[in-house]
Amino acid sequence: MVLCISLAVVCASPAIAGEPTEAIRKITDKIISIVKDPALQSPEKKGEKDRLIRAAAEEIFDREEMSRRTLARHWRKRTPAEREEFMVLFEDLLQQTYIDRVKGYSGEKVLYEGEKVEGNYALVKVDIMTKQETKIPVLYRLKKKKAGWFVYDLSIEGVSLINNYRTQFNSIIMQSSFKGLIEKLKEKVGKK
Amino acid sequence: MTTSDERKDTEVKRRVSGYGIICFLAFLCLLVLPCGQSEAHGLFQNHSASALLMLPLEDAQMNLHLSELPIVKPTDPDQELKMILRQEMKRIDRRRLVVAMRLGEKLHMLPDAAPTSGEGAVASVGKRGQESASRFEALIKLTAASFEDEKVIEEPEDWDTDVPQVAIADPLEPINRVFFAFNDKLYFWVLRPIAKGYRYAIPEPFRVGFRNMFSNLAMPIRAVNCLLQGKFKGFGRELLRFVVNSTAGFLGFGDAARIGMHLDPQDEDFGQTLGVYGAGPGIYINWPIFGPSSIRDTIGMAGDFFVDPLHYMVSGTRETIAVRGGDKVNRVSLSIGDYESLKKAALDPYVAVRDAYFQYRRAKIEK
Repeated sequence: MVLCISLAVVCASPAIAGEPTEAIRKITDKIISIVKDPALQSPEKKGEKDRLIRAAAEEIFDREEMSRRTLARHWRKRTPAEREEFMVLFEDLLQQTYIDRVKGYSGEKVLYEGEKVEGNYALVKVDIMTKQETKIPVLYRLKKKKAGWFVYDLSIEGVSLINNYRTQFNSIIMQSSFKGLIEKLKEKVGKK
Repeated sequence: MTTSDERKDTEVKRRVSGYGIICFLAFLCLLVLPCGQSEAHGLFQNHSASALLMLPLEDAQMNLHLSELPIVKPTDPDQELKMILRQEMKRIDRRRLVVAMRLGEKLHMLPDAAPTSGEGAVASVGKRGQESASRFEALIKLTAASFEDEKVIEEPEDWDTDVPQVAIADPLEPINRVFFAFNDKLYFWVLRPIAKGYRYAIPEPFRVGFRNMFSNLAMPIRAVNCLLQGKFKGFGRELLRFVVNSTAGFLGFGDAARIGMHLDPQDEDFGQTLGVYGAGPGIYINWPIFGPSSIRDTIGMAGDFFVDPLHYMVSGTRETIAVRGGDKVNRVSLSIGDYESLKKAALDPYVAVRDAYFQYRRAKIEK
C-alpha cells in the first residue's frame, strides 16, 4: 500500500515538478550521461571528460552568489579585483571537489522528493540511493536570475557546503589574513 | 554460595544498576532539563502543552521570526493566555515546541494527528476540538518533516553578520587538534589498511548484512530515545522493524522492514534526546579513537552505552574490543573514500570536520 503510493508519487513527480527541480534534473542527467559515456572511459579522455563535467556544472552553479555567501562579512571589505581573484580560485576548488565526487558515480538512483519556491528563492530536495541501499538526503538552494535558476548552496545530510567553507575561511582569515586565505586556496587548487 | 553464584549475583546487580541509571537519566531529561531552564519554566509549569493549540498558526510562525510584539493589556483570560504563550514562544525554540506538541497530542487524547485525520477528529471532539485539531494538524505539518520546516529564504542575519558566526565553541582546540592528528594517522595507518584487506576478502552484500545485524541489535537505543523524545510512532516503527528484521531478515542480516514495508530506521540517540530538550552541544571535543563529539553527545554516548544490548551480551575487555572493532572495520570497509574526499576538499580539515559534525548533529536534532 505504502509502496504503491510512494511509487505513484515518484512516477507522477516529473509531470508536476516545477522549474527549479527541472533545472537540477537537466544538469544531473547530463552529468550522469557524461560519467557513464563509454566513449569517455579511456585514461587519455580524462581531460575531456573533466572539461565536459566542468562545463555542465557551470550551467547550474552561481559562483558569485556562492562566493559572496562563503566570504560573508569579509566580502564587503574586498575590492572588485580581490573578489574576482577569490571567485576564480573558489570555483576551481568547488569544481575539483565536485568532479571528484561525481566521478565516483556507480549507478546510484536520484529521487526527486519535492521543491519549495518563495519568490526568487527555491529549495529542491533530492534523495540519493546508494548501491548499499542507504539514502543520502541532499538539499539544493537555488536563486532565480534572468537566465533561470541557479544553485548557490547544497546540503548533504544536513551539512551545508557553503556554511562549511564559510567556517573554514573565516577561521583562516582570523588567524592570518585574506591574503593568507588566497595563498592557501592557490596551494589547494595547484596554482602555485 | 559458590564463587560462580556470587559472580552471577554481582553481574545481575551490575545490570540492575545499569537500568537504574537509564531510568534516572530518563527522569533527568524529562523533568529536570525543561524545568531547569528558565525560559521553558512557564511553559511546562503554568500551562499545559495543550494550550499551545489555541494559538493561531500565523502567530506561531511569525513569532518564531519577528522580534517585538506590542504590549496589550489583556481583556479576557483567553487573550492573556495567548499573550503569555506568544512571549513564551518567542523564547523557546522550535525543537522544544515539537516535544510540547507531541506531549499535547497524548494529553488531549486527540485522534491520530496524521494530516488525513481531520474529518474523523471533528465529529468526536466538537467545535473547540475542531479548531484545536485543525491547528494541531497544521502545526504538525509545520514541524513534522524537516524539509517542510526548512526556510526557503535565508535571511542575511543567518549568514552575513559581523557577530561571530554560528558555530560550536572550541576552547580545547589545541588539544583537539592533537587528537585529530592522532585519529587521522590511526585511520590511514591502521584502520584503512585493515578495512581494505577485509573489503577484499568479504563480498559487499555480506558486509552490508553484518552492518544491518549490528544496527538491528542496537534497536533499544533508537527505540528508547524515540520514547524519550515523544516520538511514539517512531518507537512503534523501531519495535516493528526489530520483529520483522530479526525473523524475516534472518537475525537482522537483511533489512526486510525497509525493503518490504518502507519502514526506515529512526536514527535517534541520547545526545539527540538531550538536544531536543534544549541542551546545547556545549563545547567541541575530539576524542582519541571515538572522534568528533561534544559535551552533550559525550553524555549521550554514555547514556546509550547502558541501553546497548552489546554491552550486556559481550563481557570481558578483549571480547568487547574484538566485537566493537569488528563492527568498526566492517563499517569503514563500506565507506572508504568518504574521509579522504572530505579531507581533499578542505582547506583546514580539522575545522571542516568540526563544522560538519556540528551541522550534522543540529540537523539530526531538528528532525
